[in-house]
Amino acid sequence: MKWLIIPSLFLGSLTGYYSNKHKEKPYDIVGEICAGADGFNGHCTWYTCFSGYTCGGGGVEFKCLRFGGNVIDP
Amino acid sequence: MNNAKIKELITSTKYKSSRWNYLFRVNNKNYIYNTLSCGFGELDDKALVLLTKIMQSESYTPSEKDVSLLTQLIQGSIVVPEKTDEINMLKFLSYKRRFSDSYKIISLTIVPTLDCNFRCSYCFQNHQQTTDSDYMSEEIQQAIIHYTDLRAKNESKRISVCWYGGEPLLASDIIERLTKRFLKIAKKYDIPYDASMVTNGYLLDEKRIEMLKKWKINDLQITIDGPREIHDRRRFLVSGKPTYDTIIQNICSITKEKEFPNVTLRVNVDVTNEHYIDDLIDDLDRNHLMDKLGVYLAPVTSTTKSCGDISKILFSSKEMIEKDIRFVKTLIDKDLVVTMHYPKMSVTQCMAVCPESDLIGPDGKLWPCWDVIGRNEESTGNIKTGHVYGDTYFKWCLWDPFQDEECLDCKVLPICMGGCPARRVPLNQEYFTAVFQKKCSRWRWGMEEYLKLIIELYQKKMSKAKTDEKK
Repeated sequence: MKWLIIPSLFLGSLTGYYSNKHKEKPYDIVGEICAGADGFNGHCTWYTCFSGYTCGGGGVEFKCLRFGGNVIDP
Repeated sequence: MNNAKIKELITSTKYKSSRWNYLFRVNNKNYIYNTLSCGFGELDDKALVLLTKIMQSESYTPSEKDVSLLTQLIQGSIVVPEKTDEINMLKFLSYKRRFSDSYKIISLTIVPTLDCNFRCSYCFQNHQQTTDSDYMSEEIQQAIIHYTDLRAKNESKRISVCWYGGEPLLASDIIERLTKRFLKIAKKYDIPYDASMVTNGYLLDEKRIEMLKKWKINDLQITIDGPREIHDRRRFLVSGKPTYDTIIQNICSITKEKEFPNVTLRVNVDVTNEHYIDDLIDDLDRNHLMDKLGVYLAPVTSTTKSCGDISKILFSSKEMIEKDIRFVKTLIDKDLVVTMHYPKMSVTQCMAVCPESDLIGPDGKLWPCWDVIGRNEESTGNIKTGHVYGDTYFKWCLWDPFQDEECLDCKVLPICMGGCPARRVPLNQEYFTAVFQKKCSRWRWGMEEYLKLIIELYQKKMSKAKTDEKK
């Protein structure tokens, strides 16, 4: 089995995926996670949200994948 | 824990497959995605055989030879211990995040003015004659600072501000004054400060671009609605003059800066402009912007009476995922940088149901959600006096998708968490038009197709890496 995107270590930490990424890269990752199109935090559907419905709240930052270049680390 | 103990623990437990798996095939390969862990993997034959066995059995007892594969499936929450109550686990995570005060992030959306230099054809804000009272007074600014200082003193870990409007850059002096004070507070309590802004981009001249740095703006969101002729028909100045060329020129100027903020282009789409998005992409590419921006599509929605009767031109969430997929395919075909939103677990939905986030209007009114700014009946208090802990406040912050049977049965629940609260919470006055009354998010309708695009990009990336290696 090969992970394309590493599962979040959500039980330990909701941001486990990101910290895991920086510590080690045991799997192939499709793209880097970056603070891109949905990088605003705390905000709603109207302006920031791709799904129309998932958005940040209380400082939770939702990240997007960017392929190709100009990767910005969170 | 050593390997022997892990092995013992795994083989002494019974397992079942998660309720939140998407299993599908692409080009004779099997893929699995789980909406809770958001792990996305390729299953080899052995893994597929094991997973199939577990799926067929409600209570699978593993043998020692399963341990290695099973460990990975467990890590991805694709397989869970038989006794796991996944719904309650998600509920627990959601409640913990929403109602715990341990995160201590001061998250403020500030509307320094509702005044705007645009008169977009579909705008939800009801712009009439502007007066001084449309701008935030010094009294309200002081109240915000006092509130922020109080919270920062209470071991907060970060101050995060988003400037919103109207057009926030019309209130540059207010942003300047408040930012200076926020930075003082951040320094006083030794905590980081960051900011973002939603702007139409028209006023971002060189002087203001310099100010963005002083204001510590990390993220900018600008809206473009299509190529020049389409955008200018939809997003024009109060005088009726066009805005496209100035905005593009300003974005080019920002991206020429050494350290420019993340710039996201939101492209509002509806029936009337969807066929012109490719032309916009070509134009952005001609301006060498596509590798510097995040570009995404957002649906125009009808939220207030001032939106008028535009329901006939709006897309449903089901239609929107089709537009998204087509948009990404276009970028792939054009060999451009692709920005995709990875479907990721959202335990909080958004600030509307998160008591620790605040949205403050120019008159100090507190609002639960960006979509209801200006609707007095949905205001939950005032920054000077705090929230009124009454029906309006609690109907937002206690709104709960776990009360909805349809949500509990849905595989995308960990990602959508019941959808946009503004479409779910019963409003004191009803405004939303029929199309967006529908509660479900785009993910519900197009998850597999969307994930297939990620695979396509992954394969493209791997293929390019191999070619580069040979060179």
